[in-house]
Amino acid sequence: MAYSAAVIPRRITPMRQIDTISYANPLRPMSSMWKFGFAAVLLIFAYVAHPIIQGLVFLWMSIWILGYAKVSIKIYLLLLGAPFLFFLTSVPAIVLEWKAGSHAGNTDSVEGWIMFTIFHGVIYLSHAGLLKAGFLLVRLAASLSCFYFLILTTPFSALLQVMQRLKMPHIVLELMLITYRFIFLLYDTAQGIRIAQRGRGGHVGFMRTLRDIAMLFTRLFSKTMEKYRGLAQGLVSRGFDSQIHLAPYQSGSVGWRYGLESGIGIVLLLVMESLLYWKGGR
Amino acid sequence: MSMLLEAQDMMYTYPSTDRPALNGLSLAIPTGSKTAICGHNGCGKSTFFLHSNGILRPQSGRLQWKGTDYSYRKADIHALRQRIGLVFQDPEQQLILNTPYEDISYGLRNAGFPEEEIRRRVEQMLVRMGLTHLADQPIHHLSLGQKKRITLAGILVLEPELILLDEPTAYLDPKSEVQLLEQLDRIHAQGVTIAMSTHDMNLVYTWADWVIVMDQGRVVLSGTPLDVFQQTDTLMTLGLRIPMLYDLWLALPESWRNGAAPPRDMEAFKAWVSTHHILQ
Repeated sequence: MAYSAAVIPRRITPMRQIDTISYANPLRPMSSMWKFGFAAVLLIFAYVAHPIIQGLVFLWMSIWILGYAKVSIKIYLLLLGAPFLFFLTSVPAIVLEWKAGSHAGNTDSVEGWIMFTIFHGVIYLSHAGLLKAGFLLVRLAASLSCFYFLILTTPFSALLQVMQRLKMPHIVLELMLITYRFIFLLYDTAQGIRIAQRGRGGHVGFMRTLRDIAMLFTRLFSKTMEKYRGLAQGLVSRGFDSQIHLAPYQSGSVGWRYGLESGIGIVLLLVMESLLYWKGGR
Repeated sequence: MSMLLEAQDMMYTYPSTDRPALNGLSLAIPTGSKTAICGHNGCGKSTFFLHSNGILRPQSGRLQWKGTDYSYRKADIHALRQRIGLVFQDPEQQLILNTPYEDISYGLRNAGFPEEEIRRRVEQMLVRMGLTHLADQPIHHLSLGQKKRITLAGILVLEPELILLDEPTAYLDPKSEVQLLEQLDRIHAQGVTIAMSTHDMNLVYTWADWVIVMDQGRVVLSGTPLDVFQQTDTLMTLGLRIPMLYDLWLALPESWRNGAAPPRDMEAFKAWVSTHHILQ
């Protein structure tokens, strides 16, 4: 092997950070099945409940992530920020509306703020659209927080065990396992090639950077094949017989403190949601 | 001297290449020995290892384990792989599960041990290899030396009779190298036969008690370290280095050496110097 992971300086990426946190946070020893269930229940709230409840889910999950799992707020905001960028790109399509006809009679019927008039029509920010975007934002935040709670507190290996327990098809688990093993290997390889290219004066100027990146990808493909062949031999040498046997699920305890809080919290959310449902309807 | 693993006239050419990787290879690994297989990159060391683990099959010639031919029936080769442990040069190649604890248990689970036994053996192995504090770390967070120790632990836990190590000291820092060699000595003391491929001739000289020199897919020299290193001319033409200590020993005047056996390591050399009156 020309390079090994150990000699390449590692750049901290969000992905590696999630991975590191998941292995080294205070909630790691907690039963992963319970964490999975807890996140799943709250995700249902995040999906179907009223926006207020969704907001509460987001706040509560953030307390778990920042307070109990002790994830730094900088990382959490960064992790939330990335998907929000995608959300932002879809916002214009939701809030902007176009209506034909620019005479006074027509614009009166517009429900929203008129931005500008073009081509015998108006483009406006619709009230309904803004409300919809707001609701979407809350739902997005709530769902993301549930998702991050699970992946930030539960190591990947424990997640695989949970999924195995939940009877996920074995081939899917194997694929996930191998992908996970390869992501970091490939990342280190790519990083190594990039550093080598830079060391030899590459990555200068836009066009050359593009060309260098293209080269990096072709090299990465051949490296991947090499690693794949190597892993296949490694698997066989260790007695592979048509299936990768995963470690069995290891149960952990929850602890009365967290158990109590989660129980009370879920009941409260349920009560509030029901009250909102009967008082206002949907 | 009984032989644990024996190869006779093995030929193997990788698909899509025209040069044979093994070209009439005949060698034997003595039972209970610390065998070093040396030679240049591409001399066929790794190819031989893949054969001895049954991953590759010789195109002609034969391989014998304790005097009986290899059987490539699925169950037989499976059982054999438990008795012959192969440690690859690149640990990434054979680390499969996510944490040392899980990975060490992998081979045991394939071999069909009950979970209780697996847990007992893995915990024992973690303690013995000094890996307990790393047991639940993700493998990609570990250093190369640690990864190598884990691969070794994953092989050892199956209690093999022969361990093959492909360039075990490559890319290791001196401290990890010393740790690894100590571990190997301990395993060897328990009666396990160890064979490693390397081109570190100094290591071969001090560590091995049986040396095999390979070139272009066949064996050129084989015997005890003294027998092999006496053939300095052959080694030089192959472009292999003479071990520094042995070279130094040969540089001493004949009358000083006076027929004494060459010292195998620095300590032995120092001891010789301190007792030798001419140098006092």
